[in-house]
Amino acid sequence: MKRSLEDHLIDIVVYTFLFLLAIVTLYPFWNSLVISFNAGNDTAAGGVTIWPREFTLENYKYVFKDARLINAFWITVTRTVAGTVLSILFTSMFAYAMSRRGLIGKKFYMILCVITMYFSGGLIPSYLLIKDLHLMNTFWVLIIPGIISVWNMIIFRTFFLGLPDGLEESARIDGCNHINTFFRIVLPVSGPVIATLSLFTAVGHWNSWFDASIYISNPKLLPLQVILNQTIQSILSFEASTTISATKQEFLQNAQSVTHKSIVMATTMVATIPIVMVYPFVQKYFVKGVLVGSLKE
Amino acid sequence: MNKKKWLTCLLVTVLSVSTLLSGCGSDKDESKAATENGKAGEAASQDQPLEFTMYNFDDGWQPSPWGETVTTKWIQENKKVNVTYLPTNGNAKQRFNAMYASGELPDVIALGPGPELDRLISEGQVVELDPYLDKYPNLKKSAGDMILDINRSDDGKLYLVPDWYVGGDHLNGNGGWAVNRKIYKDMGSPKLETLTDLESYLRAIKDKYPNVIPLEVGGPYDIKMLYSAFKENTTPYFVSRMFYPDGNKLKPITEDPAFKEFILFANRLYRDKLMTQDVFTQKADQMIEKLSQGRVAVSLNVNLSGRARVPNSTLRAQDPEAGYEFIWPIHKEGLDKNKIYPNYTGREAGGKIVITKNAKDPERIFAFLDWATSDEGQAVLFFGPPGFLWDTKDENGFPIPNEKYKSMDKAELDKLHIADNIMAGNATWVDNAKVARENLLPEEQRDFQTTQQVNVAWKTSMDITAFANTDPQGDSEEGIILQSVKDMFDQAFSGMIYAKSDAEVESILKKANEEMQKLGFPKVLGVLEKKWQQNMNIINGK
Repeated sequence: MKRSLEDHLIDIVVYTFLFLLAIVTLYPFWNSLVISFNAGNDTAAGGVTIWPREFTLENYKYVFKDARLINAFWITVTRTVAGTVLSILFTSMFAYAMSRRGLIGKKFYMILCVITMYFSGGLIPSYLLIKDLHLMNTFWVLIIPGIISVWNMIIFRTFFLGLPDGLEESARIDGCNHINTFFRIVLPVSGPVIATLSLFTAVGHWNSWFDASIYISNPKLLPLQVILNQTIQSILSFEASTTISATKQEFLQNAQSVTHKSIVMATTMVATIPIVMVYPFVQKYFVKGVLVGSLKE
Repeated sequence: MNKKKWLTCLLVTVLSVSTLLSGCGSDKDESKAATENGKAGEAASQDQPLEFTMYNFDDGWQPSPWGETVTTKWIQENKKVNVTYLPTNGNAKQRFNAMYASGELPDVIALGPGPELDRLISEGQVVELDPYLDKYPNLKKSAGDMILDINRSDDGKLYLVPDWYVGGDHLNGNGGWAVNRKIYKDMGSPKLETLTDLESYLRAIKDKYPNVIPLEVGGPYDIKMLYSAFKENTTPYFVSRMFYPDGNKLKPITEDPAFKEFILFANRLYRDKLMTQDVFTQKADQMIEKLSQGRVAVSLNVNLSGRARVPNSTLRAQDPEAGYEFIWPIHKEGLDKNKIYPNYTGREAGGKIVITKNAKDPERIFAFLDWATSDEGQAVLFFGPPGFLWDTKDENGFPIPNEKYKSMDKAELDKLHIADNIMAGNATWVDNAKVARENLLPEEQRDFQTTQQVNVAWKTSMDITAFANTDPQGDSEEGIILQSVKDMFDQAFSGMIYAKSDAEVESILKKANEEMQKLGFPKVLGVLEKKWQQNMNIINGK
């Protein structure tokens, strides 16, 4: 079919618009990347935009020499991998049970679950709970409280409900119990939904900092995002403050001037790029995956 | 086959992760056991190392972990003290509230005045320090009775160790006026003393250098610094607190004729584009950027000696004639220039350190803080352990930097974080020690900031100790009034700067003044006045 002028025109408009949108979205990221490769003293003079003015790898050398950051990096990686695997495993098992017709009190469980989507205990009750569970200051506090996601459970459940009944019946006939059916039949055909939800969960884990900031005091257990947040905060407080003693202000400023904006940007890059690199690998599932579970036949 | 792969992959991951995690788990048990041992030991004997946890209520600054700097390592070995910092993780307030609510307050908390400190004291969570004051005399000696008395609570007891108090005759400050030396010279170095001189200089700059900001102020507070030029014995602090003293009365700042003159002047500078146009939105970075590019003719900022330090050295490296230099504060015609104060000092210290009742051995903690604030402690905490970068002290007890310090690269020195863990700071001692160290250097090598401080900033700082701790508690009636007055005033203030004409400024000012009365500000001032008079009595030794 021959494309009309109108088609071309629309294409041009659409592509131009999307291109501009992409630039607007990508520019801050690109600028951060550029600053992270620019010499710190030079960055302070401003005006570094699309290309480093004084190229240097010093900022990255500094970041990778910082034992605290390296440790935090591994905590984040471990937390992301373990958190994602465990969360997907537990959530999908839960969802599978919730998708079975025979489950007694299914509606009641569902209501309980949905309530948690709208209401939470608030910070201090949650803190007391975590404390009484002896999860304070442990690695597990990053994983267990969020191990079941109701939202993901509902998506899983809808997906499982959409699987043909025959699949499960045939497994039954071959002698599978629920556990076998789940692991051998249901999970293997759920590739796209697992991939998609894993990606969401992984990104969530990777970016999360609040839980760690509240529950963890041991510096060896802090994830990367908390360290990044600390570094950024220390630059922000440069703004402050007219209330503290002038001598302290001076002392703080001198101490902080060691951390350049360029170093913060390098840290940001180290904290962002790994998770961004996961996307291409999950892309093919992703396109399929976002739609799965949205419809029940 | 493919399904099997999926499953195997999943199982392997779960397995390997759980192995990894079991590693983390045991680590936790070990550390728990270690702290338990530590606590048992503490109670058992004075020879055991002192261990305590400390929370610095400040997201902007978290010190290096104890034992990781030369300084703290030396303290660990020689003083047998080990501090475990509980990090704020960039979330200081919420973390503090959570710890408070669960009864898990750290042993020691360093914080500023405010609702948290009020609550700790009024709810009886912190240890009274009076019983230790005479037994461990350094704090009393360094800070003096006046500073301690000002810091006492309403019940007359002392619950806190002041942090960065300013004793003796010394006054501190980092701010003031500076000119761009190169532009100033190109303009023929005109007299720059009065407001008229300033305004005509700024107008000339605007005509001659279209790309230069005639008067760079960092943010809204720095505009308030201009107020100091309009009256003797007046500081921008009064604008922040929204009152001014008149005899032995406190009156709303909106009634001060000098304030009216000031705000009209500031509005005119802003309206005629003689002052930073994005003053309400820009960040410190942007100001430093402009300073570094030499695009500022005159600057007025509370932290100017710090902010202009790197820009100054950058510019001087390119051209020895360039850079920045502090000038004596601008004043209105007819005023005594020696009574103009753009800076101010509260001797009582902005920081407070409290020991909570959770601490196992508060007396030993106090003893340590007392050592920290002594001249000996400050020397170690600020200059590093003896024998490292200094060996001997001068006749005033200030460390004399040794050859190692002199030959050390500045960047290397920064990385050592020598002074990171300083606590119970004695600002007077640290400032004087710093000056003593700088004076050993030839003039051209001296630090920009110290030079500006000694020459101008410290000499133009006003003592406002009498207003220490006068803010009413946030949840009291006066506290609530104060908050609403503050919100109203902030809005009115920016309105007056943005106003299009003098008449508009005056009408906003008039309205703000009426609002103050309506909201009940005089009631707050009554409370402040009483505390102010009490403080005056303490200061005058009555």
